[in-house]
Amino acid sequence: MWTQTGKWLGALGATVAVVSLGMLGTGCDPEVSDVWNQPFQISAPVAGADELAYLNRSFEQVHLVRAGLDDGNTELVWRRLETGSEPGVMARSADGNMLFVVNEGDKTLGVYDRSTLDSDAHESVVLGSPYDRISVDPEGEFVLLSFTGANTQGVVARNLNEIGIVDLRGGVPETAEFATLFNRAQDLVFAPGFELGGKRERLAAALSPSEITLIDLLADNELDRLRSVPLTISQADEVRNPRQVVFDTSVNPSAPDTISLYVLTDRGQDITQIVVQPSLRADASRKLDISINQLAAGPQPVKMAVLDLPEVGTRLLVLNGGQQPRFTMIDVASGESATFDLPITASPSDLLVFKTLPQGSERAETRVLAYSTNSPLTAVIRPESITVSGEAPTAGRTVEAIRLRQAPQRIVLADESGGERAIAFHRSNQDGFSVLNLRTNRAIPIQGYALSDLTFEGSLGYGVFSNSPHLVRFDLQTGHPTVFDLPAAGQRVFVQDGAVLVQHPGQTGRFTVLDATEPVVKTARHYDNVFLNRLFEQELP
Amino acid sequence: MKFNRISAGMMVLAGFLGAGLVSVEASAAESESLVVSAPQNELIVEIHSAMLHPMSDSVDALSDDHWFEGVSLGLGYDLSYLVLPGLRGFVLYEAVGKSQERFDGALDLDWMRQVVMVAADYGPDLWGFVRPSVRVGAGYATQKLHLTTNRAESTRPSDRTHDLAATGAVGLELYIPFGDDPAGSLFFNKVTLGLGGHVGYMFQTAAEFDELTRSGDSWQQEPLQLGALDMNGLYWNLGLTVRVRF
Repeated sequence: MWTQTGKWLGALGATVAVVSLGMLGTGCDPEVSDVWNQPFQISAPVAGADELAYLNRSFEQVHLVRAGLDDGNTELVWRRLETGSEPGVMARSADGNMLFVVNEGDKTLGVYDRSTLDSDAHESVVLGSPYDRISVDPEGEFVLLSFTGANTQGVVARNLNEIGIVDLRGGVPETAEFATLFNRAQDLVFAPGFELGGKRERLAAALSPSEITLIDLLADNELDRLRSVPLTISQADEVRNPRQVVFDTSVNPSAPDTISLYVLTDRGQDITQIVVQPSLRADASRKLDISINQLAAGPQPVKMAVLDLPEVGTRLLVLNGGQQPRFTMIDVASGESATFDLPITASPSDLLVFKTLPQGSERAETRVLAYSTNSPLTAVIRPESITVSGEAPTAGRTVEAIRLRQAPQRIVLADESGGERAIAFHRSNQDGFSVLNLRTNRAIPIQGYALSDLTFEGSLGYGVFSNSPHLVRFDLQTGHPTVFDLPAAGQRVFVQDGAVLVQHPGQTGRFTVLDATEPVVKTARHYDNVFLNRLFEQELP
Repeated sequence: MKFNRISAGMMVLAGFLGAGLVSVEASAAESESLVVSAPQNELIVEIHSAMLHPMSDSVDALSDDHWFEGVSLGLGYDLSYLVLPGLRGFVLYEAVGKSQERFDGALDLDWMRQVVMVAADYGPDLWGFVRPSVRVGAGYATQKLHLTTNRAESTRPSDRTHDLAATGAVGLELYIPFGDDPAGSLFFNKVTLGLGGHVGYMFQTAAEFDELTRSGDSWQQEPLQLGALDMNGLYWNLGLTVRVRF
C-alpha cells in the first residue's frame, strides 16, 4: 500500500513542482504599469447638458457623472468611455452634445456623440500632431487644435505655428486639415456665423504676439485661408500681446456688409479695429478685404466690451487701469472717444454686461458692472446715457457705485434672474459673499464662510464653501440663506435633474447628491472614490 | 527579483524532490530500510514565513511584483498508524498582506488574506532526517481591504470577502534525528527540530470587493465596488518545524 500510494503521490508532487516551475519561467515577472506609481491625473469637470465629464489621463478614460432623482430618491449614475492613447485635453460643444478628446499618443481626436446618452460609440479623426489645446466652435461646425508650447517633455520636433482644422459640417471626417500660421497662436477665437455679400462666412482669429491671423474656415484656396494682420509696424517693435479680441458681426447701418474684430493688447492706449468686407474689385485675388483702424482707448486699457446700443449704435466700453480708475467710451462709427472716472478705489479688473428693466421703463437697458479685486466699491455704468462727445457724465446717474463689505474676488451674474442679480465672491475665508441687486444697485452682505462655487436654479442660488462642510441655498430676490449639512467641504456644485450635485475636494471622485427641493441629510447620498470604481479590473496604459 | 530567484531555487529543488519522491518510492520496495516510520504518536508544528505570487492582472493595484509576504502556521498529527504510513493530517493557517501606496500617494491600499485549511501531507521519513512530501488541502479564505484617499480622515472605506481555497504543494523537511538513547535525555528522544518548506499552487474563488463602506458614517453611502481580485497563484513557505512524539 505504501509503495503504490507513494508512487501516485510522488508523481503528483513532481507534476506540481514542474508546473510551478514552468509558470515561474513563463510569467513570474508581471508587467505592472508605471502609471500605478505616477500622480493620479484627473481633469476639472467639463459640464454638459445633464452630465459632467472628467478626463482621467491615468486610466485613459472619460468618467461621465450624472445626478438626478429616481422615484424621489437621489442617485448618481456614472460610466466610463475609453479614450485613445495619452489623452491630453477635452472639450465639449456649446450644446453639450459632443465631447472631444485629443489623444496625444496616437495623435487623434476622439469625437463622442453624447446626444444619445447611453452610447459608447465614438469616432476618431486622424490629426497627425499631438496638439495640446482645443478650441470648439460655439456653432458646432469646426474644431481647431493648436500647441500651447508649454510642455517640452518628450518633445522631439513639433511646429508650434501649426493648427489642425476639423470640419464637422458633413459629419466627423477621417482626417483633419492643418495649416501653419505666421506666428504661434496663444489663443483661438471663433466668430459667430455671418453673411458678407450675401454669402455665409465663418472666421476665426488666432491671437499671436504682435499679430492677429484671420482664419477663413470656408476658404477653398490657400491664399484666402490665412490673413495676417500685424499689430506693430515691425517685428523689431516692442511686442504687443493680444489680451482680448471680440468679433462684432451685428449689422452695422453705418458700414453695411462689414464685420469688425476689436483687439485689445497689453501695450499702448488704443484698440485695433480690423474691418472685414468682401473684395470690392472684380479682379481681386482675395475674396475679403481687410482694413485696420486704431481707436483711442485711454490709458492702460485692461478690458473691453462691444455694446450695441439702440438709437446710439455700436460703442466700445474700455476699462482703464492705473492709479486713477477710469473707463473710456468709444463711438466706433466716428472714432470719437471720451474717458470718465470710475468710482472705485483700485485699478479695475473685469466687467460684466447685463440688461435690466429700469423702474418705470418698458425697455430693458444695457448696463455694465465694473469691479476691481482690490476695491470694495463696484461701479454700475449706464452706457446709453453717456454722450461721448459731450461733457462728463454726472456721477450717481450714469455711473453708480455699490459698496461691498470686502473687495470681490470675482463676480458672477445670475443669468436666470433676468440679469438683475449678481453674486460677489470674497477672498478671505470669513468674508462670506454678497448678493448684488443690479436693479436697485444695492448689495446684501451674507456673513459666513467664503464660497468656493456657486450655481443657480430658477430664483435660487446654491453655494458650497471650501472650509466648511455645508451647502447654502439662498433666494436671489431676498438674499435669505438656508444652510444644510454636507459630509465634507465642497469644491464644486451643480444642479442636475432636480438634484444638487456637490463635488468634494480630492482626485478620486467624491460626491454628495441632495434633493434640490429639500437638501437634507435624510434624502442625500454620499459617493466616495467614484473614479476608482472597478479598480481591480482596469488595465492601465 | 530577489524573491523570484529564491522562489526559482525553491521550485527547482522541489521539482527534483518531487521526481525524487517517485524514484524513492519506486525503490522503497527494495530498500525498506531507508524508510523510517514514526513508531508512536507524533505532533508536528510548522512556523514558516510565506510568499504568495498570484499572476492575475487584478493584483497590479496591490503590488508592483505580485509578491506578498506573510506567515504560515501548521499543526499536524501523524496518521501513519491510523490511515497510511507517512500520512499526516494538518490544520494550516496562512496570512499574507501588503500596504501599497498608489498614484504618488493619492491612494493607499491595505490588504490582507487569511486562509484556514485542512490538509493531508504525505511523505516518507528517509534515513531518519529527510522527509520529502506532497500536500493537498482545502479550506476557507478571507480577505480584508482598507482604502485610504484622504489621510486626514479618521475612517476608511473597507470590505471583507469570504472565499474557498485549495492548495497542492510539494515539500521538504530536514530534521535532526530523534535521540535513540534510552539513557539519554527524554526531551531529545521525544522532540526534534527541522527546517522545512513547501512550494505549490493556491487556488481560490475570486474575491469580489463590492461593498467598500465607511463604518460609523451617518450619511447614506453608496458602496464602492473595486471589482474581483484573483489571488490564484504560486506560493512557497520556509521555516521551522517541530516534531513531538508522545
